Amino acid sequence: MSLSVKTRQSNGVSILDLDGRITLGEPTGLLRDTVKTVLAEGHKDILLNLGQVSYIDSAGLGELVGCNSTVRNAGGRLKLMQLQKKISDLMQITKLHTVFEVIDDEAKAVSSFAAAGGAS
Amino acid sequence: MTVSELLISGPDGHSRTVPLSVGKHSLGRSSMNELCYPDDSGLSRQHLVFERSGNEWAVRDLDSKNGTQVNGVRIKGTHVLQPGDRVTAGHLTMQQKTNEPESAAQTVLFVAESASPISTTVETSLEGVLGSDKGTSGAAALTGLNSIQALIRAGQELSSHRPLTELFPLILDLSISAVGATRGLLMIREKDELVVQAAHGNDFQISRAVRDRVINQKASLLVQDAQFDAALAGRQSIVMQGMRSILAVPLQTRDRVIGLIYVDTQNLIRPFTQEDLNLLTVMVNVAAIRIEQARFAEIEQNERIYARELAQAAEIQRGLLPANSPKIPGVDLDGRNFPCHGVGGDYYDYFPYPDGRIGIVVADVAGKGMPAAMMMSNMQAHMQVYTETFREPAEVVARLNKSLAARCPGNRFITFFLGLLDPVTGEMTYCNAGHNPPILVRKNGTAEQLTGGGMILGIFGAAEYENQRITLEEDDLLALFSDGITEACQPGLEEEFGEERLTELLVANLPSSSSVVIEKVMEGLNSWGAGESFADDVTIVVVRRMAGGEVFSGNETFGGERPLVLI
Repeated sequence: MSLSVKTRQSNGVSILDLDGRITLGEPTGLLRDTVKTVLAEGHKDILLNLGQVSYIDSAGLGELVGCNSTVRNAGGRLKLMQLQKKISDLMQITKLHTVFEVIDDEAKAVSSFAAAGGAS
Repeated sequence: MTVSELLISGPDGHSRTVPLSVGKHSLGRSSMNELCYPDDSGLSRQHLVFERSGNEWAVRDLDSKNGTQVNGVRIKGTHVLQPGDRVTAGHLTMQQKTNEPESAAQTVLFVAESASPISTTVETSLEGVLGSDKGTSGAAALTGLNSIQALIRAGQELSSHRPLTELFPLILDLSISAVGATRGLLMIREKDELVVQAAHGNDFQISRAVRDRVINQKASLLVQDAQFDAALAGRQSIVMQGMRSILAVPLQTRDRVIGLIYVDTQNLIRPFTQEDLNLLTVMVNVAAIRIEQARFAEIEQNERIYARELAQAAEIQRGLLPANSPKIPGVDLDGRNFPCHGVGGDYYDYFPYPDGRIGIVVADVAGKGMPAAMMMSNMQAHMQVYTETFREPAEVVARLNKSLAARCPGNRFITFFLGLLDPVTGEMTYCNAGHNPPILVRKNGTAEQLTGGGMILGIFGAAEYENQRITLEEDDLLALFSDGITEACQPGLEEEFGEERLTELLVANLPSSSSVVIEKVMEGLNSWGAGESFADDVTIVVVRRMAGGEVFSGNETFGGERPLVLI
């Protein structure tokens, strides 16, 4: 039911592999703390791999938005990768797909950071 | 007061740590000095003194022959020590170490060893004193009149109701007076730390070994400096020597040690005895039980206060929702809200417009409980004003979003749906800011979602919103709801109630009144959740167009205490 996060690096991009459900409480706290830790370590380009995330509640969605602001304010970029159908629908309903860049292919996602240059 | 230690290193690599506690510590070759180095030929008989200067420590050279250097520079008179300063005199190097204290360390410092390593220790335990542990000599030791009196007094004092903040100093005072101590400390375990809750005196230094034996082994300890007797014989000042007789006993309840009491004395005439140790052991045990009682009472009290406030908050929040369904010709409208934590972030409302239309709102604040409820009431207040000022939903939503975005915490947002329904024509103008698409069931049983809309509220103040339009024909049904319904899960499972089940229920109950439809949906939801309470706030509003301008019977008239909207 809960969430686990593993962090790895690829061509200067920090990829956070999330697995589970992003819901109010520990999972949202874990996501926030992990993103802050990655930023504090000096990694500004962050890619959230949501391929193994089956559910995001409203608080979880709020946390994604909060993380996006945190990363942007730190001069970095946050992108999303591999959204499951339900989560993709949720992004459509809330119009958050206009806020987040979503890329399905990991290699493309990683290289997109380099291609776009500095923080948008 | 800052707690400091002085690290003194000799030429042979030997070093010692001296706690800087009392006002002065003198150093020199003479035995008159507290820090005496008779063999260091580089020192004068009275060479220097460390003394307190306000909150800091200073070193003062006592006109020594070879002088005192700080960081290699000879000082004249007094020098206030800065962090990292190296003081040299004779063949000695000294450095002050400041333990920047956690709150507790303001008055207590745990040291590796007591100042004088030569000490005798008497150990007992509660079982030992009470005689249940055979082979200990403590049994029946509490026979002295003073002990009995002290216990009776403690019993009387502790029996009255007192908050913890008063209880801690009281227990310490009782302990100090029972054994005739000069100073004392009461410390309570909080997580992995001992926190001072009451202190009489300051600059305590407690050996870690003593602390650990009391806390981990539930030992009651009497530690006596062995030189006490020698000092007594030689009539030397024990205060000067810094010698103490100490008692340290655990605050224990059943099997748990919740803290410890430490008392000491420098009284030459009356050092502590085994009887004192036994008395304090028993008394402190009674006190510990009393502390536990007071703690539970405080927790209960806090819970009662919280429950009462939550109930009041829930009542206020219910007052923000419609008290009853409006009676409007041609429209059958009803809604329900079930917050999962007493209060919640879901919201629904209906209000009449002067042009005859009815405003219908459903909203959901991200998160739940009290924080969501606070955002909800803030949103409601703004919305009331904007619906009175702006005619069309998209304008209201845009203004609402702007206001919320300015103050909304970064990880919160609100999904919001506002529709204005004309009861005569059935035309509804609506704007959806990221809320679950409402489900429209046509008279013939076909269902569709009202998709489309703008961004959730509270993220981007500049977001733009558009009106959408739809017409409700007679006997059509529109259901507005929060994700608490569609995302409800069976306990332990991930399968959601979902939009399909909801739609099926709506279609199946199409001819029923709105309140019956809502009942059926709630029944379906409850049986899906196997009677477990909901994990999220649940809200549903159902609107039906009635044939021929019929007024649905059984509902109240619009208005009541709710203010009429003026445009």
